[in-house]
Amino acid sequence: MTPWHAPPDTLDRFARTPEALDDTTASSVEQHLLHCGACRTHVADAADPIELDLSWEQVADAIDRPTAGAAERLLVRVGLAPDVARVVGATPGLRLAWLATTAILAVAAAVVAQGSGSDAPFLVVAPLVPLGSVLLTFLAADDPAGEAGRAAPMHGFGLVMRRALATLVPTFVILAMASLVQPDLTRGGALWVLPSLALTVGALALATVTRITVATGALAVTWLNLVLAFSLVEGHRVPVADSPLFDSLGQASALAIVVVAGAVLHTRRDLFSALEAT
Amino acid sequence: MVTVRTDAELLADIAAGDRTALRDLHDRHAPWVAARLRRRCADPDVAAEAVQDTFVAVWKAAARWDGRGEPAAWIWGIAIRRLIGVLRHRDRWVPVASVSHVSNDVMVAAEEQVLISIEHGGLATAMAGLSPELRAVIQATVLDGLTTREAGHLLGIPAGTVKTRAMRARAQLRGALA
Repeated sequence: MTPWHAPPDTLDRFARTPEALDDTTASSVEQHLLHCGACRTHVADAADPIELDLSWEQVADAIDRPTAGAAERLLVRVGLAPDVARVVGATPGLRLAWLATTAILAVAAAVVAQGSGSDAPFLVVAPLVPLGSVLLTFLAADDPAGEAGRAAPMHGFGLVMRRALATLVPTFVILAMASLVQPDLTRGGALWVLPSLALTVGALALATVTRITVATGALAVTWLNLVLAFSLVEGHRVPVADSPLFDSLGQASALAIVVVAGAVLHTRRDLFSALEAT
Repeated sequence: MVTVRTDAELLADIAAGDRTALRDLHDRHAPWVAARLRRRCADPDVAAEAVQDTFVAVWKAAARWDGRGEPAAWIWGIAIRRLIGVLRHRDRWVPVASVSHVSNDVMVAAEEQVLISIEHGGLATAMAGLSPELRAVIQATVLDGLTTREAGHLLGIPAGTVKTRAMRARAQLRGALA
């Protein structure tokens, strides 16, 4: 600490109206303050306490905000609203692992499709992937021990729905990108969308009456059975994309399931919100 | 029992994630940092935002303080660059140089060796004789420890102009001090 101290009234003026101080005095004070804790305390005491509190509130706000992850920054960069990007991008490790698995599955299906010239692998697997997302979201929402959460799968339903969306949106984006490399884009590019949605919304609706593992498992088995059953037309195997499962009637049925399951979900969601509130 | 932590202790605690330490450091240093920034920027909102950014940066970067020199000088090194950052941001310029570029020993060396005397006279009188443009350049490059480019951003003039003005200012100062 230097033996010399800035005059108290100069420090007061520096604290309250710094722009009014002449340059020479201000420079002297500024240099002195860097080395003198006592004079800094004097400035702090002379400053406006309300302004100081306001400043701290802003700082505290900023450090409490979790830092944006790489995925989140990317989403903001491509134009998503920051709060939406936060929900989608703030992906815990487990879901991140699932998204990686999704991407690998999608790429594998694409590679197989390119090799065999068939879009069957992708069309069969794609609808199962979001089912996995739903299952994972519900399981991740359970406590680590699992018992309490699984005993009451409806608890915090609204929260689970939001988390499910956060995983499902990127899952569908990945699937959509994978569908672009399918061999017959004009015909098969979008065939997977409605069946995938039907299974997803169906699983969520079923989860309101039974456990999520049962709901997703049952739908996955049903889907595979449907694929097998419809791949035989009059005793002959047909390409999956040509099977009645994916024709216009099949697509319409899928859409109907989406609507009905969505309605079920909507009705029961109100019930769960009420439960959640108690 | 209340013990008053030194700035260095506060920075160590902040590095360990202690919020109360950041609050103490903020309350201790934000007032003079704010006053000093207000002398370099006419818009009080910009100055206030730079102060807040500074302590957010301190929160993130406290572990990188090397423990040498004055914490106050280190904080100022961050603050003046955050001010440039906020100014650039408002002008939709590229974001600022990050905190890691702040070198506290350069700043302390410049201040200790050359300018400590400004507290007492001599150089201060010579500074007062400079034109406002030259004084602003000396203030930014020597007192605030900014690079030519950073000073240019702060003062809103090209880096080349900063250089020529700094040369003229130095020549005048030499003349006044001789």
